[in-house]
Amino acid sequence: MKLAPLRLKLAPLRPLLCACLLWACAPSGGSSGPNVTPPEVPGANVLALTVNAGPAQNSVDTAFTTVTICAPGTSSCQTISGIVVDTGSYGLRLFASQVSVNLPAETSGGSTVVECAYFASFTTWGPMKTAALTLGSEPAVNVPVQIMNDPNFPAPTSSQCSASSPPAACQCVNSAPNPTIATSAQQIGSNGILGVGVFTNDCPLCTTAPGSGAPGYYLCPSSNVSGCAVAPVPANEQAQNPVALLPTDNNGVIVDLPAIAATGAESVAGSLILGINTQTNNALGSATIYTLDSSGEMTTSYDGTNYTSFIDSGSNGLFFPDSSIPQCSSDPGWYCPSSTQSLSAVNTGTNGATGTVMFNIANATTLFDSGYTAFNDIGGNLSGLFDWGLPFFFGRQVFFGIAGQNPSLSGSAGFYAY
Amino acid sequence: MKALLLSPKISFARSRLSSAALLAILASVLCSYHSAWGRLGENAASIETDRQQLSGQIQTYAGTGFNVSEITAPDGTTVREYVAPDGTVFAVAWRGSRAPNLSSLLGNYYGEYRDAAVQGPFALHHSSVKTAHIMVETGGPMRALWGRAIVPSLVPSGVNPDVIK
Repeated sequence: MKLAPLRLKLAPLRPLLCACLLWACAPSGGSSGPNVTPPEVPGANVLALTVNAGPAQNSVDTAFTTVTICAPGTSSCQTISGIVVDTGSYGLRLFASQVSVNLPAETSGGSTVVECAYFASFTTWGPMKTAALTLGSEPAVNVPVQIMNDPNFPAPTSSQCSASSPPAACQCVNSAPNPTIATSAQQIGSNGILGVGVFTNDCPLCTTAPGSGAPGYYLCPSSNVSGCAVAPVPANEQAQNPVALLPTDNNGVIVDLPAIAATGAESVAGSLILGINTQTNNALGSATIYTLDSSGEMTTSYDGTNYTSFIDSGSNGLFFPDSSIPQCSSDPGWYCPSSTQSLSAVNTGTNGATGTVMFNIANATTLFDSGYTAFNDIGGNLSGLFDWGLPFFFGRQVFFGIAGQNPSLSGSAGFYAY
Repeated sequence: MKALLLSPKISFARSRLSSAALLAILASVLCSYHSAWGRLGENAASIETDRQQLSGQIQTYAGTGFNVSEITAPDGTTVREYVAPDGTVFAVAWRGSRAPNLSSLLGNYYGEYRDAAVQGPFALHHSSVKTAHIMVETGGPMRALWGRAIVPSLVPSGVNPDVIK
């Protein structure tokens, strides 16, 4: 096991030096220097993004932002930083340990609404509470938020699940794709997850056909998970993409990260811009729209094979199958070619729009050893999908249109555009 | 294993199995042979139990050197079970908006998978877990989960694992 590389701390002059370099040499969004900080996009509909090691100091290629939550109808508010911006999910999820304001729980008939939601290698369990959420300088909106690892609603333990009569909840009854419940920022690398992808809520099936697996909603009469029962939950009480609830700028987002060098950057500043074609700062311009299927996916052709694919700010690399690229010996799963591979793939939307993407895969171990946290050329092996993670985003604006909110651009479908 | 969580990458971090983890895996493999009713590594008759659990419809078709039983649940989730000529299920793959029950699909291999998976690293939309006997991958945006599990030692000779998806 290698220890985390030491991060080089240069003299405090460096920010000044970098700012000078960027403004003087690359005013449109520079691509050199360890800290890449383009001019901020102005506007009430903008949240600052930072790609860095994050609150757990263990992340690469992860974009973080800050949100403000208040107890609805009060001036009791707080800001929470270190929230990962995830275009691959829908809704805001916060660790209970980060939430100090008193948020009311969603209830039904005296029971609390609790969700089991899945991510690829962990499951989130916790009650739904209502927060007045402020994104950027937009008006606050009341939104159901999942509170993860709430001590008042503990998740079923593995020993409870393996008992002779396990609780009928979450990973006990219909295993999530993984056996891990998210418990801390140190574990998953963030204080919370801001899901701002192409749908408005996280479980359409749960409105009419509640399932006992993940995702699934439960009514829990008490803190004892054994009393929880699966239940239908209306879409507007589920975890909600909060962007769709805004009075304006509610049809999608733009993830805007500057170009960086092939050797990476120590940190990168960017913007999450709310709305598409609603303000002067969020025009679609000449970007091509790729409409998506009912799962929020498109098709990518790579090396002669078509894969279901998605563009995801929540993935910290480009993940796709290529058995010809060596994998790293000390970083399992990542690609470690001896020299940088120049590759290409073709994306196709359900609208027939098609375009070639050129990309590079460099040696991940070499790049990680730099101690930098932002890379446009790291990737790893995933067999059945093509996952355009954060390396795809550097140097281009990527638009995510919410399904049903963009009739003139994409009909009822969600879309990506870039 | 705590050091794993301190590694610099949120996913695919520099994980190596410690001797403690290997022992845990070994123990779980030895113990689990007496518990769960299995799928992966079991004979094809076990597929019917999965079909019942998913309340699904089943279709079978032939690949080159193997057969596939595809179960479609009412919610649209599909589970494909790959069956070798000797009748052994050597791989499963799934796609849908809801996760299938891995503890039953992976059968006797679930414990080994679980003990490795809980060590991390953890990621939102892609995951790859390899142990001594099984490879499990999952990924996709929320509402569109894909995954597959393969027992490499059971893949019939001449079958390219790339066909399992």
